[in-house]
Amino acid sequence: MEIMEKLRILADSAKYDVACTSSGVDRGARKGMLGSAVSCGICHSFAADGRCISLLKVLMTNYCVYDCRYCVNRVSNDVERAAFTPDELAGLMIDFYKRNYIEGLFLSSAVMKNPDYTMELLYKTLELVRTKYRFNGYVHVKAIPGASKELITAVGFLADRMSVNIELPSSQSLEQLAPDKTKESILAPMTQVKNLKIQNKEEVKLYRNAPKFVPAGQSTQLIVGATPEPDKKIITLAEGLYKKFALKRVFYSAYIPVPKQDSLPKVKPPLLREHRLYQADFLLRFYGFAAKEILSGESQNLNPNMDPKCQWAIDNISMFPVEVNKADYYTLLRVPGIGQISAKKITDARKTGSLDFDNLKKLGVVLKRARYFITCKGKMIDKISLVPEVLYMKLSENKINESSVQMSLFDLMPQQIETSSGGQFLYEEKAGANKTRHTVYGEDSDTAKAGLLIKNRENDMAKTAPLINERTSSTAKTALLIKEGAEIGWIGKAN
Amino acid sequence: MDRQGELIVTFDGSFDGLLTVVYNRFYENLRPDFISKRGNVQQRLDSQITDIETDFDKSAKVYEGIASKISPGAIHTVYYASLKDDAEIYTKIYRYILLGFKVHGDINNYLKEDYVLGVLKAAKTVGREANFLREFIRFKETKDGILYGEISPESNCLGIVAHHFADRFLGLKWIIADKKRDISAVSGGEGFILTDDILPDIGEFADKEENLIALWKMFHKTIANESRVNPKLQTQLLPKRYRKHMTEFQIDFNLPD
Repeated sequence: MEIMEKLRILADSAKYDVACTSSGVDRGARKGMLGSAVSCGICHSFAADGRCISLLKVLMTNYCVYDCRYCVNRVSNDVERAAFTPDELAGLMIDFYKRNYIEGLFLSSAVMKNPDYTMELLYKTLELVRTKYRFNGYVHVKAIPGASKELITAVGFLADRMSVNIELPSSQSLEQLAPDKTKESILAPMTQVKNLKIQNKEEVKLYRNAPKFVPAGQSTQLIVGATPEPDKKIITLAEGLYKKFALKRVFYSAYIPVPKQDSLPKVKPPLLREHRLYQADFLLRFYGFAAKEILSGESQNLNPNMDPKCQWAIDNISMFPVEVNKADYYTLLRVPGIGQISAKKITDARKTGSLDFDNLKKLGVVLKRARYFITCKGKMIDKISLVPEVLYMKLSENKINESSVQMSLFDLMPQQIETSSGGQFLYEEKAGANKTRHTVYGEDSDTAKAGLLIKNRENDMAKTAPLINERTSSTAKTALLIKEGAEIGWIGKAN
Repeated sequence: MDRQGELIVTFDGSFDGLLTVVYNRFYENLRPDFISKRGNVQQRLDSQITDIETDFDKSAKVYEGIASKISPGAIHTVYYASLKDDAEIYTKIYRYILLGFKVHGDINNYLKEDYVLGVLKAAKTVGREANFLREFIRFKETKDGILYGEISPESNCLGIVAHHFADRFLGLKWIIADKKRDISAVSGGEGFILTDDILPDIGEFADKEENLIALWKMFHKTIANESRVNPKLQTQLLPKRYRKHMTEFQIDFNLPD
């Protein structure tokens, strides 16, 4: 078979693997060797699906003895089959590397004959790459569950990163869909890699030139949407994997059902759900969130309409607004729209003087979402309300259309609260259909919140006004304002 | 901009030239209001123009000063910023360095000053473009075994890109040509030189090149998931201006002879 054919078949089978990162290891050039590795990773191209192409991502072979029901390469599926020889693959990869097409190799495989036989093929390829071609760049390899410990160890010393796919979010699902794999056979190599890595770290400390075992760590991947596990289960699982196995990454792959016949319509994979899971995953890894914080309530799934950080902030609105000039780095990190870079910029820039909203804009802090959750020098940017329902309406991305009932609710919702010069909150509500307009002044946001009650008592302003009056009676000024408001028709119905 | 009676200082546009201008601020008391690359400035009746010759001893002194009095990172920042294709940038860098000598390592906290932010942004822009090129430059092997690649970047980041490949392709012969500025980086296996000489003919490309290009194009096409196609995201991550020189985006023309 022509190498062109093999590449076509084996790249096509590999495209369902998510990871294509080349990050995690910094290795400068060495004399007599080819290439280097950069810790931030380098993407070399982007495919039509917008995913990065960093590594030559192929399967060693797609001949498989297993029959996992979610997988295109299952033995019972009728697909073209091919297998690279270690020589072909190593040579092709080096040629690609010299043209700066790729950053290195991502080598996975279906299970040919048995796990050990397959793992040996992977080993031979990596050995050629590292010894014959003296390749000093990045290699990511899959550990085949069930392969012998010795082989996994040997491969680990040739690779930069190793990964074992846990495939599905629970052992029950695994039993159902991948009868040839067990939880134990998957976790065994993961545990082995983790332990060897700890051991190797000690060795490298003692002997500087000791060979390194998977210096870029291990990662894993699981399929989302093929089985009924809710997001909560998946996020909790990911948190456990990060903690127990010291994984660098957990990748999520939206399940793409493979139609039996080409004439069937192609089904869209649950990409939005995958996106939300990645957002939650980043909260776990970089923002100091715990899984139980991200999905704290009764809800088992992430809200498709809102990024999980926004959702968390709205659920915990009592912690906001945050004063930009005083809050510490980790508090800033929890503000929707402020990431690591913005938080760092803010903590740096405020050393030379306090910041206002204009300064933030200049720094490049995006206020689209952050504006609802921060104060600068004690003041919020105008037209802000800290009422969860209002924030939800403003921040919802409307990826999935709200029902018509909810749409009409939007009209009834109060639209704005403004700060007047005396620090008084002004509450205004426009009820779309009835063209009713109510405005209430309050002392603080709590008072303004009380104004929400108006929503429920639209036609009975007489009841609402005293309620607000009572809450704000401490200041005569406020009472006066309300009175004035009533006089000019702000309180009550105006057409 | 109103530049009444102002002093315009011109120099050759090089990084060392710019540092020489800074040197003259301290040792010749030359206080420019605007700094510009030679030949890029429009003289006005009421402005005065002084030209500064690049002096490597003087620039080295300022270089040392920046590294020790401000920070080693500041050298990196001002060098990257100076490569940006922007007429205003030299004045901003000059003011950045002057403030840096006053406030030392805290310079990057003065983000409220427009020129500090301007310099940092410019350095970031240049760094980002260099990074893009590091990713997207494509080489072809000639019959003589030289790897040849072309770029046409907006900022003058050939040096930064070449620095990366001096490490990565240690022991290999390679050339990177900036087609926009007609300069190139040439390496014989160790280090590299930047030159504005016209390159000699590199000869024909190796025989296996055509097949490798076809293989790479096929891989690039195959690895995409049809059910996830997202051209908007692809363009965002791989801006179209870089595709001109990229193998996988070049269309095959099978024209009859």
